[in-house]
Amino acid sequence: MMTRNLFALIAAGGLLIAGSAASAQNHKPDGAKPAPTTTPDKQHEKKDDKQHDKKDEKKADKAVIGETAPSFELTDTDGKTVKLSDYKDKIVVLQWFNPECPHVVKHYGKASTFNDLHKDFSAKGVVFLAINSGAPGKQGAGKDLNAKYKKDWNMPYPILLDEKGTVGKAYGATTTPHMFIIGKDGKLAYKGAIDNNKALDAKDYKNYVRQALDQIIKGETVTEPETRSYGCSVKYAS
Amino acid sequence: MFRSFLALLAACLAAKPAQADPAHAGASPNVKARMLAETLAFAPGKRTHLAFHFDIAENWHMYWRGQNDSGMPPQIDLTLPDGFKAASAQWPAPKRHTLPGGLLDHVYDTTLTVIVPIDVAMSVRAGGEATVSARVEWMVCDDVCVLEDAEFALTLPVRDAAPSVEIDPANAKVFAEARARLPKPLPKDDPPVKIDWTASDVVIDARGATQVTFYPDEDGVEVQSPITSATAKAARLAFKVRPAPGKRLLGIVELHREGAARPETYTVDVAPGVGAERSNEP
Repeated sequence: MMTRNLFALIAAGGLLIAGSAASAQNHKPDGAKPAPTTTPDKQHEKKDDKQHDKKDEKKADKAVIGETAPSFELTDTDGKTVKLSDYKDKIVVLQWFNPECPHVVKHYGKASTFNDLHKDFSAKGVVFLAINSGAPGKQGAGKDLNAKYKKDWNMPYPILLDEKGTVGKAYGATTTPHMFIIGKDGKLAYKGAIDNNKALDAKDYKNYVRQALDQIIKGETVTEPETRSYGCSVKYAS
Repeated sequence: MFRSFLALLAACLAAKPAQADPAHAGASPNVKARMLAETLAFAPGKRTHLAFHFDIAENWHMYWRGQNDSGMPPQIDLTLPDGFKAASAQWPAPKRHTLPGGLLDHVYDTTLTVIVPIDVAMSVRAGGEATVSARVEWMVCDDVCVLEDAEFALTLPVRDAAPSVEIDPANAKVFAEARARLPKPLPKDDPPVKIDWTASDVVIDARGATQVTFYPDEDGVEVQSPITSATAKAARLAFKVRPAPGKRLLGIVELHREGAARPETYTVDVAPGVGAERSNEP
């Protein structure tokens, strides 16, 4: 967990408060940070479990790596109907979304992680969809609010509204962000975190979605098909 | 919307330098964080401890490094002088926190203290001073979540310890209270908890307990559906795991007993049993 970290020292430079035993402190909200944090050893790869026994699984409908991804039909912020089956024979990236969750904000506000992924992979035929499973009245929910953020953040792909949470639950989406990649064969190829939760400029930063997309496009095996996602809870109604 | 406005307001206020210690009431920061040292000096060849102490506002919570459906435990990134080395952080037992959608997290409310042992090498020369700094980021939530962070630095003299390192009396209470909340190692003789792990089945027997709860560590073998399976109002708790190479059963077991004021908590670190996939590690 603990590492010596040159980045932290540099980042800390102007902010260090010399402290005695009763140390000084400095609070900043996410919005004021210069860069996402270095977060050692947070992510732990979970191997595709061959012994997975569906009978033991309470949420038996939860999306499983290597199996057909749950189909869905939702409406986006423009009122347009979007179906997963619209994108047959395409690689589809689903991103669980809440524009007021700081873990989402950091990739749209300060960094452009998601828009960069779209820029690099849409040319290769990859489709991106954001899904908001927040219930009406909960943080980050609502058509108008999401339409506003889509515009403010120049999001080049639709935000689908799943206010009943049925699609979120079918996929087992627990956090925002929570990422899923569906292969051309319609089978789930990746589920988990966007990245390993290290600072975006850290040497050991790894974007799991980028890695998986590169591997899928090259026809290689996805080396880390399942990781532990982190972030805000999806704001389900019940 | 109103809630998120409050969170935004709280975040804005938190952005101001925390000169005066703001109270927890109203739109104040959600978390007041401190870094403390247990001793008045560092000593070559000796271990001292740092504490990262978080005072958490009412109705807000922070996260344990457990098998959570959401959240993020505090990330502590230390910068240490040459010859200083941090050992594994010590975390108190969390609470289970369930959310709509069948989500389970393991959280702390009110306060959290994480203790980090720091070992100073014999080769470090006495006489000068040493500075330990830390960048800490944490996520704190009520219905909404806020990411906050802080930078700390602590400079202490480096002195030879004879016979021991001087304890800082100002911080003794924080360390004593934090240690009282840490899970204990299971005693080898006559352990109060018997753990049997065979293939995907784990059984925890705690004779005389009225309730048994297992808090699974994020580095341990994955527990199946812990929201329903990892706690029982009985002396015996049985749940299923997904064995994987190199994965041990890691976490904390908590026992409630009739008439006891506080639950007992013990650390769990068990290798796969008969039938479970053997660890790849030596």
